[in-house]
Amino acid sequence: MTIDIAYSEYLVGENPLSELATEYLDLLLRSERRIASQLILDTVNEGVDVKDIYLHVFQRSQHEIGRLWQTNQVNVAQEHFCTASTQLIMSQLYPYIFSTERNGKRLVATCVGGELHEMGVRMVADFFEMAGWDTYYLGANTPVKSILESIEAQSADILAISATITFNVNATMELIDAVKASSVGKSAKILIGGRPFNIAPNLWQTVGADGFAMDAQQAIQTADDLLS
Amino acid sequence: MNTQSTPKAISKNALEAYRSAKNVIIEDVVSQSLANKEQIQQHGAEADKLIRSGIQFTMDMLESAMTVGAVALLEDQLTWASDRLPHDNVAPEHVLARFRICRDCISKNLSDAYAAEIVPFIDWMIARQNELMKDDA
Repeated sequence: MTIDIAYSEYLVGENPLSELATEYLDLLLRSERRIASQLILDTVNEGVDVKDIYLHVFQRSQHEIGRLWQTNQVNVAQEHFCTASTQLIMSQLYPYIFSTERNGKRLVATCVGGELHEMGVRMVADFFEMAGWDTYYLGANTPVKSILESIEAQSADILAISATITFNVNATMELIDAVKASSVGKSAKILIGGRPFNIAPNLWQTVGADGFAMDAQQAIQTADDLLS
Repeated sequence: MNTQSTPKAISKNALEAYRSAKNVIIEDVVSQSLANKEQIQQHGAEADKLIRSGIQFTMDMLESAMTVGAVALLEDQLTWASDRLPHDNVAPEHVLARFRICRDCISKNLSDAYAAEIVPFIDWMIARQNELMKDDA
């Protein structure tokens, strides 16, 4: 089956892995998940950094899938299949992700309550693992109480919070207020990311976070800066 | 209101009043939207469910944007909607009409003082939606 879709500049333009990203997304849209998986594994085994795969293939293809659904070029089922496939393929990279020596720092990473888009914060957690952190990834839609308990139980240095949909900004503020009012707020720094914070300047400060990152790579540096 | 002006974040009291009245406002907006048969007939039996979810989304989005005083959040959602909603058989003029109904219902269901804080955000949305419609014309 030929994929007759014109991909955006974000996927195929200034992307150091544009050919790979295009081939990967073509395979997923043709429902060829197994071949897509092997493509990624082969690419990693040939020496391409897993972090580059995350940033330039997975992140960009996820963004593109969202755009394709927005413009009605793929349907909801296709979007869900592509997302689920990428999550599965990310899991297959875990032998590479968990191979770094530990640095003693600890992260709890979560979507805010009500937020279902978890891929971004999952990537952040994996980047932290690759940087030697111990990470406790909570996934989507986690209640405030559970997040507070996790920060305490894990002795987290950093809480990374993700919100993708605009209307979850309020829930983000409420979570940050709850963390700062609790005993764990004295020790854990709060790092925030997600689309609302990428598009509204200084929104991360308005909601009370300690730091902000546009992507998983930047999140590591920001976290290190917060703890220095 | 034009889109060059940026409303300030609303007060905690206005936010509390908005949240308390939100369900009533949503019911009011949905009811008035469904009364416009020409704008909903294409949705058939799904009209109530679709309109309701759209209005809920709008009110939730508005709440977040007003709380932090960030119209960039509204801009992003309106731009997104202009690409997506026509594929769901929701025309841009329907969106505009429902924003105007939202404005009226908010003014009706809140005190003048609280409505005065909130309505500038809806006015911004109405102005921006008009701009987007002109761009697409």
